[in-house]
Amino acid sequence: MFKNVHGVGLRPTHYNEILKTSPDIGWFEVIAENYMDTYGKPRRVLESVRENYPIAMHGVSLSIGSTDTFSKEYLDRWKLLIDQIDPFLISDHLCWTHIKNHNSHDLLPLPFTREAAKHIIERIDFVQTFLKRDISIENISSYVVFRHSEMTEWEFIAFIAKQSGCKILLDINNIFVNSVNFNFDPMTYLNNVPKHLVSQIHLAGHTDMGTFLFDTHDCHVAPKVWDLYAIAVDRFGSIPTLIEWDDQIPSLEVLLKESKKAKFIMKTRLTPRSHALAS
Amino acid sequence: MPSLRNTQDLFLKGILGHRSILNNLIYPERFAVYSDGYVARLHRALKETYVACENLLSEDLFLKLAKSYIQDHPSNSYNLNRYGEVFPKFLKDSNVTKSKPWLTDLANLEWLISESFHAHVDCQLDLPLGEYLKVKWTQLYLSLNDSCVLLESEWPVHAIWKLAKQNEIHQAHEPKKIFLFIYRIGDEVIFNPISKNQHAFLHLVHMHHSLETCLEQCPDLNESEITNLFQLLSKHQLVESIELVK
Ligand SMILES: [Fe+2]
Repeated sequence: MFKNVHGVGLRPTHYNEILKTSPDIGWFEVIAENYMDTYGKPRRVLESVRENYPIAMHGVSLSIGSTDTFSKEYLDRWKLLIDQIDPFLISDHLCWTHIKNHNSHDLLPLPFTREAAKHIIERIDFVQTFLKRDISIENISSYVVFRHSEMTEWEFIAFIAKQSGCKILLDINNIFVNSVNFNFDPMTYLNNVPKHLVSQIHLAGHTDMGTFLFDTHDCHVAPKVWDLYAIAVDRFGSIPTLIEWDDQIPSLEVLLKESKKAKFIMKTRLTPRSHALAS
Repeated sequence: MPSLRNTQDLFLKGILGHRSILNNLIYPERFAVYSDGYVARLHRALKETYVACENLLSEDLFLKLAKSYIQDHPSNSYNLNRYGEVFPKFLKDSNVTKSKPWLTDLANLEWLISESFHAHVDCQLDLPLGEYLKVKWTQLYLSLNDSCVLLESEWPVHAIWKLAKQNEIHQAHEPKKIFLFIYRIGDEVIFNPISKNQHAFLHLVHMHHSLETCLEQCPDLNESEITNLFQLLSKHQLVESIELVK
């Protein structure tokens, strides 16, 4: 589908440079909510970038795990944007963001219970039917877990994806962050994600807070996350991979270099001879 | 086992300050990531919209006011850009406007700038005014694009805004009645001081009155004011549609 499966986020600080230089990158990911309600510069830039690049559309407010009903306005606007931009992939997070008219604008954790899984499977079915497209759901970073969870995070996401027919956007940094925060082996997580369901990979930087890791997206991808990415490439193959950098955003040059690093790792792991040499 | 609904309800209450959710959590000491993060996000949204107000008030005072606003005003939209709509009214009711009476209007201006920035400009008509102005104005209705808004103030808020954006802070300003016509050209939001008559005329246009009614109700509007106004609308393609009702 792509010449280059590696992409970066489209962020306002880089708008002018991207329009001027058409950088060598496979695709861009946009945060859907930043373009749904605006018809000013952001929308104009997106339409112009779309003429030259594939776009992945990533949402943060679908609130798939919420026990509130969906916002009709939100779904209508999202569908309209999807129809206009025709992204190659649409995604949101396995989390909840709002109930009772309170939007937290945060990706809040879910209890890994059968009740929650059933609820989410029904809602994914509703959304996919409404949009007439598959969606991908992303594993989030968390800082707390619920005492009444009945399964592990990887069991929860795999079960939901298999039962609902949605795909998985696998955030390797989030797996690593949670593995440290909750003391599990990230390899166990990776090995339990069904190979054929992974549609996209995210890589990002995090911050060590001393007693836990915080998913800040404000720095380079950590060495251990790169290692985990290499293993993910072995397992899942040539999957579109995005560098997420949302805070303290560096120059476009630095961002593209980070993406090239991901590209190099993938190439190394997928070339049989060099792979053998590397291992 | 608590239901999903119950869990989310408790979690939300936890974010808002009632911490019984902590008993349901492993690593409850990290819950502040969520409660602090909630305030931080909404504070950032207010900062982005009300840049000049923050500069005028100082970071610390703005944060204090923002925290108080956030406590009483949850965000109920998925879009953070929509957060802070009644912040000007909140400022008006607070103590800070006693020493800075222009602050409410300044905040109003910043909200309107943000709305204009994101507004949908559907189509940009080359206004063939020469042709249209030949027909009877009783039959003519104009619709301006959604980026067009009006503001009236007892203070020169456009000048205060420009100074405050550059961090030039003046504690006192002379009152001066102003009328602003705010609109977007390309990516830039412009605000143009207009006359009281032009303001009244545009207000009536906004209310979808025929041009003749607009004129009738603005008897003091002189010819050069009309010409200037139509030149502005035409030059920046601010008219979205023209309706000719026979
Ligand atoms: Fe991610």
